[in-house]
Amino acid sequence: MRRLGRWRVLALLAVFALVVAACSQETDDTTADTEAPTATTVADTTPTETTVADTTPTETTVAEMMLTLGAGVTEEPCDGGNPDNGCIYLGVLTDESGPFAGASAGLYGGQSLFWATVNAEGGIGGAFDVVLPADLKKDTAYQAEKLVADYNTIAEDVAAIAQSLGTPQTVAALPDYERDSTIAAPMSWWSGWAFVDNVIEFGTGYCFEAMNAIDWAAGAIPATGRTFETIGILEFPTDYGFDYAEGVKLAAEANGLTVAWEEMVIPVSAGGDPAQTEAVAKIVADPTDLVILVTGPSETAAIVGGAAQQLGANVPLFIGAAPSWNSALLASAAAPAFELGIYYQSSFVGGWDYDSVGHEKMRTAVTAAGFPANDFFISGWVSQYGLKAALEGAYAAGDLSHDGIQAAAFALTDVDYEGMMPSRSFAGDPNDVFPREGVIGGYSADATTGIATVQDFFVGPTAAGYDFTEACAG
Amino acid sequence: MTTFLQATVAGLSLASIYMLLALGFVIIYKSMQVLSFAHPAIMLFAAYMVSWMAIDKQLNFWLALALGVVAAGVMGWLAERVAVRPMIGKPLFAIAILTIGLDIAIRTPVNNLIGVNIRSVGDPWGFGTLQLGDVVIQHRSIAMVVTAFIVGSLLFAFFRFSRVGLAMRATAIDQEVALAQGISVGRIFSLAWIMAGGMAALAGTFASSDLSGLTQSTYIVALKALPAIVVGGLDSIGGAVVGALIIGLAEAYTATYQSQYLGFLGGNFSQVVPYLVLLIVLLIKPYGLFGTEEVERV
Repeated sequence: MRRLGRWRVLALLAVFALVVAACSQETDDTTADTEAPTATTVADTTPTETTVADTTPTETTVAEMMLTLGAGVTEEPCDGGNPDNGCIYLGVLTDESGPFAGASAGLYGGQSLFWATVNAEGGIGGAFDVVLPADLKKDTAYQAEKLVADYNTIAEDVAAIAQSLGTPQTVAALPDYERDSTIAAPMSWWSGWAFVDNVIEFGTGYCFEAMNAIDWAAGAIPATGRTFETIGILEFPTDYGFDYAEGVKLAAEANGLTVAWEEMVIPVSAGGDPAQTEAVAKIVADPTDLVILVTGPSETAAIVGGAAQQLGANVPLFIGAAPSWNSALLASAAAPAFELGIYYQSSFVGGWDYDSVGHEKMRTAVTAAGFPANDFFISGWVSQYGLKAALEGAYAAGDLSHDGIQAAAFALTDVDYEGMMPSRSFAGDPNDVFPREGVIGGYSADATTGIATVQDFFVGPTAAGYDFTEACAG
Repeated sequence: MTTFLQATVAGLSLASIYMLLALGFVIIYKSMQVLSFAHPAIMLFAAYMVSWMAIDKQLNFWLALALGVVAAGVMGWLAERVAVRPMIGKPLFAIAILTIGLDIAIRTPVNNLIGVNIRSVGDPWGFGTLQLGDVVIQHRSIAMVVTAFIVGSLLFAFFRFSRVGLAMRATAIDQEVALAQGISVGRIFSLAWIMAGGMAALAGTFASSDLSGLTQSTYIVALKALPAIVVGGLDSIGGAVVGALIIGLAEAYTATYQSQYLGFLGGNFSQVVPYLVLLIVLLIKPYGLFGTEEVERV
């Protein structure tokens, strides 16, 4: 019995040590873990709509205004917020354990810092702070059914969804968003969002991003003396991959280029080959002038690095879609491959060092919070301008219910992104108002996150002439 | 020919990792008749420890690797003493399920420690390659193959010539007879888990020295060692080596040639091949190529 007791004690010690180890994780520049600085606990939300008597928008407290308040909006201040302001709670449906887990902390951190900055400037209409509490942030594991279930656990406690990560996941939740008149900022750039009424997307879609990338390459690659006639595409078998690949094919045809092959890449996190032997073998066996990567950072490292090792000076150029890069690649074993100057990056937004008012605010907030630079902060930050404009519109109209916020969102005609990307309208035919501008970056050892702008915002001829009446793919 | 040789190099690299893991699986199985599903977690834990010591604490890589091997051995020993030993005599199915629980219990905090970004293990091989004719060989591939060969040889010598190795073989054959001969079966169990942990540390470090680095997903590599041991035979050291070679090479050749000749099978079929080989071998030889057939009195 004594021996058994000793081992039980050892077992408890081992479990305790593991828990302590997990809890005492240091935040450093390698792991780039971020915790939301404004994370609060929802003390009390008011899910049912209430009308508060007495109307004087200025010089009054929230309780004295004539406002219709809906789910996730309270007269009471946010925990730690401006004491005279009410509180607007937003939900976050992100991926903390799936293929985009590496992005989650930066995305949530960027969004939280955005609203902390807005709150410091007075909040929405000087009357409401906005927060993304930790208990309204859910890990969907990049699974559609889990995102839908998670949404329904917070639906009555949120005014809107600040982040709905993943295309198929968000598509699966659309009936529920529609049921509740909830609007959501998708963390995905599927071109189909232009035709959905409950999604307030930001930036151009994958499809247009790809068209711009190929249009740019059609001019830039031959200018360096390289031949540019053939393209290979390596893509995740998801809407992300399909939408971007469709844009590549459309632009290739318009530019007289040949898409020599198109191969699927299984994410490493989903059991894919960490060495990406198949993708590298394809690049080696069937060389093309340009390889398009519609993958994640791990796959980018293995593919670009593997191809560079085997082909040396004959390695092709690569253009990665925005989610394919992570500054952690700079410290990976594949870093020497990127230093060959063979990697370019298409995006909907300027990179970390981009010169704009919004970027400067974001950099200041991230630095002040003590986080290392990471491009995912940019996506998190810039994703919230549309929601901010919608909340301001709803507040001005005196209706902060879900219906009021949704109506305000799709009446917006000039959402200002403070120069991080071109302003846009949400009111009107998608063919007329959907943004088509993209930006191209390239690897640079001098750039903070490894990518520097090589082509500022532009709309290539393929994107400009595209008749946008439905999603490119999916 | 260059393509074939390049694929062979990739296959041998994979096989080296699978072999180190498979040997661990087999040693534990031979000693306790337990298939440890906690092995992936121990491998991930060890790889993180090496990364933490080499990168965060700036220790020399070789020292970090040695300490990682020790840490994984201790983790294996703890897992055996705390969780598995008390289950001896219980149904094997229950013990297997217990090791799945162990895997989750170890891997969850380790995932938090790894974080969300790619980590390096600080290995000296990095991006370096060696060119033999038209064939490009990663320095890490050479290190992996050489290490796997040395470990395999040492293990063979250990079981063949050492008294402890002999005791382990005796225990594997019949625990009661081994006990009657004065062998401490409990110590043999612990030693098996310690050795398996050490080899998992080597495998995890090699797997993480890949261009895609150490991530929370690195543990998946260990799952592909399972087909290797089933193909070779659960209780055969030599079978583990052969099984690892078969699985590694089959995976690499498929990744290289399938899209050219069997494109209709779809992309990434190479990831299915280990399990397809396993299925075929099980249909033909249910106990694996070198496994001991059980004789049941009916």
